[in-house]
Amino acid sequence: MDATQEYKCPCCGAPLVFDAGTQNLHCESCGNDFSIDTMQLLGDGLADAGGMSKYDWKTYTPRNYDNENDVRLADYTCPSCGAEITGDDNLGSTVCPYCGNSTFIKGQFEGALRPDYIIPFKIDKKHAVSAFEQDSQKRPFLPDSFSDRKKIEEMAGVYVPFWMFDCDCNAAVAYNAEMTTAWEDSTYDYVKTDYYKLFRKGRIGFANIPVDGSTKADDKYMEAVEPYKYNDAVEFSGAYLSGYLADKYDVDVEDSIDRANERVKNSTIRAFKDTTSQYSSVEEENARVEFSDGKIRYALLPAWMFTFKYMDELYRFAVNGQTGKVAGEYPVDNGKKRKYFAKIAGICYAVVAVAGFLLLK
Amino acid sequence: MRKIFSILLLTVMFAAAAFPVYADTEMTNPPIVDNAGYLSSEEYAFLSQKLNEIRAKYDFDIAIYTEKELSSDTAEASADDIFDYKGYGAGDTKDGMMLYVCSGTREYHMTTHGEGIADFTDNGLKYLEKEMLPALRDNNYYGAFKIFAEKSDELLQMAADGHPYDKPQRSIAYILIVILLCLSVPLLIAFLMTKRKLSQMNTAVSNDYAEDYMKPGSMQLSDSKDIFLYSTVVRTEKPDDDSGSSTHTSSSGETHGGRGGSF
Repeated sequence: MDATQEYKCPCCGAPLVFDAGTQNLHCESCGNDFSIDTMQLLGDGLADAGGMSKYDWKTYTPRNYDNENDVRLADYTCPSCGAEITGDDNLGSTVCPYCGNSTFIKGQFEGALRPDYIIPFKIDKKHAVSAFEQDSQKRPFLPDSFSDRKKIEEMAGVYVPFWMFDCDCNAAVAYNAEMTTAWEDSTYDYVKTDYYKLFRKGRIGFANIPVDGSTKADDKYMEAVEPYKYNDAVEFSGAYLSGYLADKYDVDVEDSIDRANERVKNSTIRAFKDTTSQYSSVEEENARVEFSDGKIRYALLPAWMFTFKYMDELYRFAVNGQTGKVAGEYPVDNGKKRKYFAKIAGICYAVVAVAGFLLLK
Repeated sequence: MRKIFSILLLTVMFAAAAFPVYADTEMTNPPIVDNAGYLSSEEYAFLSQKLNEIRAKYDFDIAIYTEKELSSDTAEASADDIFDYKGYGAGDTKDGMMLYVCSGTREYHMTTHGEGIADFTDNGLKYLEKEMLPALRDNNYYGAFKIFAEKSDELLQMAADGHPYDKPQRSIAYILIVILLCLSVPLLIAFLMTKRKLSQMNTAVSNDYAEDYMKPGSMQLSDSKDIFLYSTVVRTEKPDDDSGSSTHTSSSGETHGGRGGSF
């Protein structure tokens, strides 16, 4: 059995050798010395942060709708994009929020996949249209012709299905950090860089991390209109669907877990990193997140959605039905873009001409 | 009697023309010492006359000194030592400038002293070098020395007018880089700023974090270690001042300016 512990230099990776004179570990490649205590602390910290993360979520059991006495529900299918929507029995005229098609095929309400919670709409259509118009005015290269109010008013209120994740994590993160100081004398400029290894270990909790459960609602759009505030969340009741559409989840909870894990891990690394602000540069090296009995729930969250056809391209927009936050990909007027480019280049050429003249004088 | 007087007067005038009179000080060294044997007697005479005129005009010692082998360790030390120990320089402050050329090592050095340090700035010496070096490289020593004399006259005149030549000498590569940067930097800035504006056209972007859903006060650190590993220090030499004259001290303890190289 090999009982020898071999240490690698944290600076260059070469093997360290014990120097009897200094009682330190010495690197013959780069000349650095490290105390044995330092190397042991490094080893312990990296072992903590270097293990596999463990995400243990409780199993979610889907529920069915009870007899919703207060409102009669029906299922609708969009013949164009295949979206399956639940709404009240008398939906009236509305367009598909995902593709803009104006006819739905009504079907029998099946009563499956009942949500646990719902955040009711706080923003009505008038305010959603206003929020969108204000947002579009901030877009620099928006074509002048992109302002069909009638089309904008076709936006539909949709309850989008989300998986909600709660967890209390234990986490260990290792960071590489640098601290730089600079000074000068009459002949030279000096920059000293001190290199550190940082270890942070502790607990952190998350509640209601949403992951989009609908394939029809683009994940990017739904994450962009976040955050949703869960103090407005209530126990689900079919009455909240009156006058609105409700999509049903078609992304299983197992397929959504990876995205929740990713967001938990990223946020933990960033939250722990906030305790290292005294360093000029901090990069994560390893992170391990561990929790058990993470809770999963199914909720409907409100969004106003509509599509806009411009120059044969379909543009989608979403407005958070609780906060009015807008997300979308706007069309670009290439003429305005080129004009802006030319304007900036012109100003820069004028400045650079003066600088060039001074440099060549 | 009048005829004899006229002859005497003419003789004095010729003598005055043949032996230059220096305004304040006497410069005893010949303006050219050609130990390397670069010049014909005609060339020697012409250049001597030219340098003597400059000496007289500015009360400033200007000289050319050539050797077959370096008399000191370097061309700079050789030039400085010859200037100091052979008594070059005009006036109490030994104002002067000497072009030293060694045929054996094909090195040259222009050494300045006294007022010569301020009159021939670093940029002035670069200018002189730029003008003279092509002829020197072609082994056209007479041509090179003639340019040296003419350009020295030009620079001394500028110094006498109160504005010593100090225009930075730019290499072709430097000029090309500046032009290239002037052409490309505005395009790059315009491209980056347009790209930044374009990014505002798409607000449907993923959110890889979940800080908005962190339980308030839930983050508690149980262990926090900051372990120092090692340090590095990078030392960068400051760029030279682009104007004025840089100096050094010769073996005799005199302060000299100058510039030199190989050809």
